[in-house]
Amino acid sequence: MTKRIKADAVIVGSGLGGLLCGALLGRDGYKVVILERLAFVGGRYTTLDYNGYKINTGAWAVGLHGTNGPLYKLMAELGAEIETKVPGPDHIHLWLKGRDIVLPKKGQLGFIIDTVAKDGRESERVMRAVRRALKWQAPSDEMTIQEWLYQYTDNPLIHGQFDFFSRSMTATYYDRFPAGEYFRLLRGFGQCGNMTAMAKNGQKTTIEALLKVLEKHGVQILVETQVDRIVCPEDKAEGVIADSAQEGPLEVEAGVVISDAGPRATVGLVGRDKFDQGFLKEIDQLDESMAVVTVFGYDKPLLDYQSHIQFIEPDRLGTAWEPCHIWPEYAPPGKQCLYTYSTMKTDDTQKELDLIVAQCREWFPGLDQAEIIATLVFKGDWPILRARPYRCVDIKTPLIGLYLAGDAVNVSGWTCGEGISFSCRAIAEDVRNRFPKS
Amino acid sequence: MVQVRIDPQKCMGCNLCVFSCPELAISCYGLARLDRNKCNGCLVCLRYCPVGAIEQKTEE
Repeated sequence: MTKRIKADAVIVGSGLGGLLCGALLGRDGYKVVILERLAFVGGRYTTLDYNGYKINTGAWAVGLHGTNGPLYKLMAELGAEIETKVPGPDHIHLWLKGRDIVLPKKGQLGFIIDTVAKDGRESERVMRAVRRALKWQAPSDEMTIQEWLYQYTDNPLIHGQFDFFSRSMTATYYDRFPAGEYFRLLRGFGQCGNMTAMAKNGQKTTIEALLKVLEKHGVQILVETQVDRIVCPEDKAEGVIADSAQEGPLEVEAGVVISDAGPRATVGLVGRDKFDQGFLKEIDQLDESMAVVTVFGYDKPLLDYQSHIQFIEPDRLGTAWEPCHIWPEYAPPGKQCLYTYSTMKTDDTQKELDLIVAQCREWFPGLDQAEIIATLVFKGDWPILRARPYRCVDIKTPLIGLYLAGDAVNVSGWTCGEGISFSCRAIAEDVRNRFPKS
Repeated sequence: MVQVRIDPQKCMGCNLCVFSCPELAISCYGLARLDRNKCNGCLVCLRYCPVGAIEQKTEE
């Protein structure tokens, strides 16, 4: 027998976007139900335990800007408390062949360009253009950041730095990243600082804090609940039909449906015939980004500090960090681990993994004896980002009451969890303005 | 006995099934692989796969 639930809003998917929307609307007195297909909540923003290791399912830090960032501020506003530490003591090191360079807390880009430029004239030429792009006008998105940079230098290390930023922010190589959007992202770093915060038990800490907020506001979450259809008989959303391991067949009636399942899946759940060609074209053109996180396990620390290490010479390896220095919980007793983040140049996963592992071992010779604990590949329907920040979709769909949340609806200039926080705020505000609570 | 099948066309290599398996019967290096001798048929992995690459199959 089908169970029927009446709610003000039903949320499909319990990734960061779904949970933040649930918390915002729950706080405002809306009756909210969240349905999650998988057996765990948090999507690509949580942590799973594996053999004593904490493995983040996707994001590895609380936003890109830590406690200064919009995500952390939204969490605090919601009353979600997270125990974090900023890696240190120097936060970020730049590794060049044979050199370990501590980056300053502010002015990192200028410092790096000064460090790798052929001379002071080259450094000044590039930084003058950077300052103009940041403070006067961002360049056109009709050229890539690579094309923009070639106007000022062909220094491969400076190009490596620009490519690194583009890859680490969005898993996109700089030869296809629009120049204007690049500087809008860089502005966010100028505003908030690059001080990533690491949560005690991994990203799960963030999700657990949000779950407490949801519980306080009476938001119901059902896991292992597969939404079969988003019901839109005419031009507006009316709820969902689902099948729940706990409740059996389920119908949730709600005038607001927020989908955190990704735009493509959302269109599938509604039916393509319900949307106009323009919207479908936008969705079909979404371009998910690919990357790999590898976790190596071993006995003795490779480093004597826990700072993020950034690489501008390798074409895949981007960052690495050894988290046990600040949070020993990340590895079982007596063990250490190294997380590395790399981007993929092709869709050939096996080949990419071999090249990435080889680059990790080249830069960390101590890994020769290490065990590969995990190689997490993000692509296709489980990507790093469902849309690049320069080609995101709007929070609203053409169907009244149907919203999109998550990493395909970031706002320009922001990405990952930081971008998600903006779109969730916008969704909650729009719902408040248009849909009365019961 | 209940067993599972991993569809290599759908598997993205995300490793979530590896972390879910109480018997440590799955390994993944770009593609998840099941050790049939270790699998106890609990089907937890189905509920962790985000891309629907794991399905149940019944063997004689």
